[in-house]
Amino acid sequence: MAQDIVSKAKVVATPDAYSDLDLFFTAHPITGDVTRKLDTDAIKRSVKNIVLTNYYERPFKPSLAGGVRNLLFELDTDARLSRARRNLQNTLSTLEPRITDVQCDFFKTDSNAMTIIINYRIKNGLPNQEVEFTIRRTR
Amino acid sequence: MAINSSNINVTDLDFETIGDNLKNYLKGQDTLKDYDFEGSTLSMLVDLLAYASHISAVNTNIAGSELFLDSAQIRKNVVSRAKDLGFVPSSETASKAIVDIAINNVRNADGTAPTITEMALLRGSKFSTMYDNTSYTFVTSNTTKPTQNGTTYEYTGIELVQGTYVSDVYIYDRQIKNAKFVLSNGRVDKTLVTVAVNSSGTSTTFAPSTDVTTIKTTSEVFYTQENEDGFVELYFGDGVLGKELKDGDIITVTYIVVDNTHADSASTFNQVTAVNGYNDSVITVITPATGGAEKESIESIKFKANKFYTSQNRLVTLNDYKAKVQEYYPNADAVAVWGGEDNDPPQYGKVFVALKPQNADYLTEIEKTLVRNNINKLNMLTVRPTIVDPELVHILVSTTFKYNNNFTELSQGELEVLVTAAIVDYDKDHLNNFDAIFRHSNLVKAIDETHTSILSNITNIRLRKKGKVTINDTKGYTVNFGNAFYNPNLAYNKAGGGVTSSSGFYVQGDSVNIQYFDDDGSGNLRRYYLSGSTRVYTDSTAGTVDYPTGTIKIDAIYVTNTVNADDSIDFTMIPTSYDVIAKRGSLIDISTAVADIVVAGEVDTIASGESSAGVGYISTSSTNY
Repeated sequence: MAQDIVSKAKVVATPDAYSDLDLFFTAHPITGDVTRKLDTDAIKRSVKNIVLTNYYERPFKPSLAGGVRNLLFELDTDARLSRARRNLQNTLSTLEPRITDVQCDFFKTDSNAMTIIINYRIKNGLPNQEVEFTIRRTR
Repeated sequence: MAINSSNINVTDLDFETIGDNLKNYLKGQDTLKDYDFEGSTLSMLVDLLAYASHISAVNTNIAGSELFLDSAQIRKNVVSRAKDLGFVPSSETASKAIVDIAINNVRNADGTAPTITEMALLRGSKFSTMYDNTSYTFVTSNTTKPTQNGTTYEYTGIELVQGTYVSDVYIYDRQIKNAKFVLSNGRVDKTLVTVAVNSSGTSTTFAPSTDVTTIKTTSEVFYTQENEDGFVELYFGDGVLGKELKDGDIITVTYIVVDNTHADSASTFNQVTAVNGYNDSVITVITPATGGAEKESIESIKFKANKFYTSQNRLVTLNDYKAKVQEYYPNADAVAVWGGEDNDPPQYGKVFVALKPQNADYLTEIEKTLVRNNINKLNMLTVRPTIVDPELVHILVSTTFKYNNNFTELSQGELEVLVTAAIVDYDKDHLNNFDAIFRHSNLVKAIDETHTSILSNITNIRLRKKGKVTINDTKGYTVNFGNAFYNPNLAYNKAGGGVTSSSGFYVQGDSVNIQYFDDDGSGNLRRYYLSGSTRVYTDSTAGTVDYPTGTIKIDAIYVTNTVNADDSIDFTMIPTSYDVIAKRGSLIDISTAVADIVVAGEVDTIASGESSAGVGYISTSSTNY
């Protein structure tokens, strides 16, 4: 009986909640279309875009930025890092309404670089996400 | 990516709206949904596309605007559009003075007298003057030969122009198409440019082209225009409209570079360049320096160019006169033109032109003649132009303002200086034209806005007009203010002298007492002198005062002298309306002399917390001056 119910149930594909273009504009291997980023990947890409955007980079939206690259040229103090962490959390909470409980951590590495790890929860119940990337001074 | 909605609004120009339109367009599909999230790649692309569209729209808008004279903002485009209409903007104009020069004690070492040619005052000879404690150089605009009178050599009617003479030399090359010769200096007075062309050893002076209808294939003329960088450039005829130059012709352009400050009204000059080694000179100024002007402004070009075009080089309508007079006299601050039929009294067959120079109240007689002669060339046969002096009605301002001393660290005196400056600025900005109206409430507002600590002001005005009198002659005079006098009831303020007052003068038969005028509030002009502070009336019907029309008529009177140095009597009156208008050739302005602007500041005792409930608060009368 139970098997009958399962076999009679309609199989419905869940439409993607979020869909965005891939910033690298790579071609789909089969269709040749520009590939898309879907759901968690789309949000991850959005978070990364915000963090890596500098102030005054987006036309007419000077404050739309994570501004972390500027950190590479700041004094290496705990207060500075703490303030930057707080700023980035606020920025992400404001500009990316799909995520909550944002946690940012900065790790100084050698070679003029810094690793940033961002943890957040997606509001509609998708699993928690972590984005990690490294920013480096160009010499 | 299929788009269900194909509607996209393409008429908007600003970044935000273009972005919104693109997002609305993207709502028609569900392949890419993240256009509403600022961090998404799609949002970045929308922003970039909106930015590109916005910049493109702005550029198109600017390009479109610059195509038309009315909307163009960039000077080179305004000049170019004006050129389409045949209008050439005036350049900087050097200040000019006319002097007579006498060089004394001229004798050669052997006792002989130099020849007239040896003693020629060469073009470009330098003279100096002091203006505002700074020395400026004037140079002669032409070479002049003197007349000899014993050991004195006299030069009469010498024109001195302010600035520096400069020469540029070019070689003509026919290989270069449409060759233009750009003068190497800015601030060039185009009216003083001379061009000499040396062709195969023969030097010829070329004339500036003024009227293309008179130009022949052999006319030795040159053309000038302002180039894109604002410099003057010259070009020559093409063999059809003016003589064409030959390869290798040497062009020498001599011109004057105008100083940044115009030494208008300078009236003492000293010889700097010796004439044939002699410089023991006496210089008599016939006309003080006048006429210095800046390059024509963009607004002025826009104003004049279409009027110039409609006038077509002949003077028929009033606007034709207005356009031409400003062309002939670029230093004009304001020009008013009215037909004789509108004059008071009417004088048919005449057209009246009143012209106020920028740095003086009236034109000199030489300037009047110059303008009149130029107008006569284009005038209609049956109309006689008459240049008249503008009738100046000065507004005397007295203001008392209240301020909160908690809102400022400025002293009362410093605030009073600021308010005085605001009144002077108001005059410059609003009362520099004929047909201007003095709007009292606007001045009151300007005073209130001078500083945030100023809370209110009471501003009273009086009108003053000068009446010229003829000394030692029996004559009647009329002084028309063009604005009604205050006279609320018959015999108003009879004991206090009505609403009229005047400066002093002397009459025949009494060389001791200074006489004055006032009125009895019933339309009679009275003459009196002061005995202590008491008015002793010597003539209670010395003339009439017409309050509604604002006219004072003085019966025949024999004036022997006036307190004013320029043989005039100043009349001061109270107007009915505090809004003052200028009619016909009248020009109203706020008298900016120190004595004529009375400014007093008072701490507002309520606002500053010194008193409460209005106790001790002193308000200013709005009728006292």
